Amino acid sequence: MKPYNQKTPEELEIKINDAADGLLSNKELKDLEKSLGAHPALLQDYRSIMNLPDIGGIYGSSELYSNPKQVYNILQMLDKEDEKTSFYDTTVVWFKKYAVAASLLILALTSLFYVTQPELLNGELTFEEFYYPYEELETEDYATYLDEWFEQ
Amino acid sequence: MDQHKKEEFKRSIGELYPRLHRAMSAYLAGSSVESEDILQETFLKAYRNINTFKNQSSLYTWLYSIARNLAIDEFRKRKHEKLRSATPVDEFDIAYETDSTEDKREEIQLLRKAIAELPELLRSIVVMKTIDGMTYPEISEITGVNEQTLKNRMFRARKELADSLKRMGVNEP
Repeated sequence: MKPYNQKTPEELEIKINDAADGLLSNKELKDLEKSLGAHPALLQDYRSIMNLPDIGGIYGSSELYSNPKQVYNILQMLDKEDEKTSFYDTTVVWFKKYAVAASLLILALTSLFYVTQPELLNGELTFEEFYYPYEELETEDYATYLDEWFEQ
Repeated sequence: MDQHKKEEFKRSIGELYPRLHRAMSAYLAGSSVESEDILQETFLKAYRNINTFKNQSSLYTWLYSIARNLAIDEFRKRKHEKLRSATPVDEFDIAYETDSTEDKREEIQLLRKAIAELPELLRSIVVMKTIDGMTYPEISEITGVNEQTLKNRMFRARKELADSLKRMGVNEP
């Protein structure tokens, strides 16, 4: 460690601060004061700082600042926050949980449908034809009638 | 996991609130920012981000840094408000121990005013170190400034306080 008389003004400032924090021994304090003799402005600062009244207690003890009503309000606010987030979380969880299950079910049902309807696999009926059966239209009836009439 | 952290957080509010309230009252003294509002916002913000809290730091220092950042945001929003030095001394009459004498009260008011007039950079360190009793490593964690620089700033803050008190006539022989 550098001797006090070789310290720079910046290092001495930090030592003065340590002294104000009560971190220096009596010997260190004496050495500091001695080395400050070469820095009159810093010596003046040292004296003023060491003379400062105790600041630690000027805001009283923490107990003066306990506010059960305010703490209760904060807890209420956090409960409301929980309610807000729980709806969102539930929605996401349900989606994640059941979206996969629903996809698998649709796949299984579609496969089952094709297995139970072999004619679809043979290409005799398309999916649309199965669901939307062929409906005879009047125009087609009329065309058939004309064909028959010409044949006669 | 988050739920467990949240429950633990809620349980600790009653214990953390008075200390944080005291520190914020000192930090915000003389400004128009209310410490109760900052505290309410702090706990809500911390609760929403509880999963980002790592146990490497204490819950108190984590909350303190949230509160300080919220206060700085408020200062920025209200940068046109009246200067701190213009705040009358009697506005620093917040909470006292009941047994303090009239002279002591006056000295306390002047000390509070002197601290309130310090620039934020110095005031925040004085409050954390001297009033809240934090260590330099804890202050370093909150401010992101190394310990040597903090000690240097603390020296400057003490020097300014001594000058300011001399001007006010406090502590003169």
